[in-house]
Amino acid sequence: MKKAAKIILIAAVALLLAGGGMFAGMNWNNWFGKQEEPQTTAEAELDTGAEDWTGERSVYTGEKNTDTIDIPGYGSITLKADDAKQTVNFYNPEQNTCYFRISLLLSDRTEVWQSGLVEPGKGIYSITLKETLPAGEYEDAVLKYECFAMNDEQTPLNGSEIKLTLNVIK
Amino acid sequence: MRRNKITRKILAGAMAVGLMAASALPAYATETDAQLSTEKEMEVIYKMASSFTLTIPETVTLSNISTVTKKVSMQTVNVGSKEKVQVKVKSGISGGKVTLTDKKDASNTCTSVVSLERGAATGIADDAVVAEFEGKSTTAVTGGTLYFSKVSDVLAGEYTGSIVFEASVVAKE
Repeated sequence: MKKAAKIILIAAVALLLAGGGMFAGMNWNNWFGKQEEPQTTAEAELDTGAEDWTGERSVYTGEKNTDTIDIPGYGSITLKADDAKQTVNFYNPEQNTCYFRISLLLSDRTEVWQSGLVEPGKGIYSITLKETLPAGEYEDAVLKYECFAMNDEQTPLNGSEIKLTLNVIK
Repeated sequence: MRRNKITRKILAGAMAVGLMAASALPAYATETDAQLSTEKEMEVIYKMASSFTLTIPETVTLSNISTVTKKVSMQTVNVGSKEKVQVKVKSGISGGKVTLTDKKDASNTCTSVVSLERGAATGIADDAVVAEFEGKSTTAVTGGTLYFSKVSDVLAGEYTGSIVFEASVVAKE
């Protein structure tokens, strides 16, 4: 009887020690870990310069070109086959100080589209071709930029032609 | 005797508790290799098109005193490692010279030799490459500067002309 009681006692103490050890381990960090700074509420003041948001406005993008012209160029552009209406990304960079007249020509100089005068900072996203193009790769097509001074005479300036490939796909 | 009985009961109880705990664990049926390993391939693609912004002189004002220098450069450029952007003169320069015409008298012209080196005796050939750019570098790997010789022996008047530059993405040799 005494031996049995001893065993039970030893088992109970062992259980107590194991349970106590687990409890201590789970709470060790809370008792002895690095205490975090208590979060305080922000005490910053309202910015009196803020105003109602009405959409994005133009921002400073650098100085205007005084005697140079920036011409966007591409290795290729993709068009939709058998459709006159096309989606493109033609534009006159904002830093230019001249008008663009942009044309799209095939390798044999057939003009398939021409724009009117495009101001600096303006772009063209939708065009209608003079003729639809069947699917295929059209090498040595030309994206032609004619540049004109922004005066009454619209004096012709130096221009550029970008030779590229038209990837016409279905 | 009685002590042994109690001890045995305690041990039996402990083992019963252990068995109950073990039986609560989920059992995993073995699966065949075919069911475990199912591999499928997914293609991941990214395409970046070649593009650039060519910077050309808006005008060239010639001088009767000294050579005029003008640059052809890139504002931005991004072409593949096996490609380059090549810039040539499409029109306006012929036989190595740019010819300007008097606004009031088309028969009156003046010329200037255009070269890629200062003081060159002869101008650039027709269809010559005047600049080349590679990768994302806006510094020309070849050319990039045009030299216009001073004009001389010219009648009074206002002479104009224009140059068209041609740019294209071509394969590197």
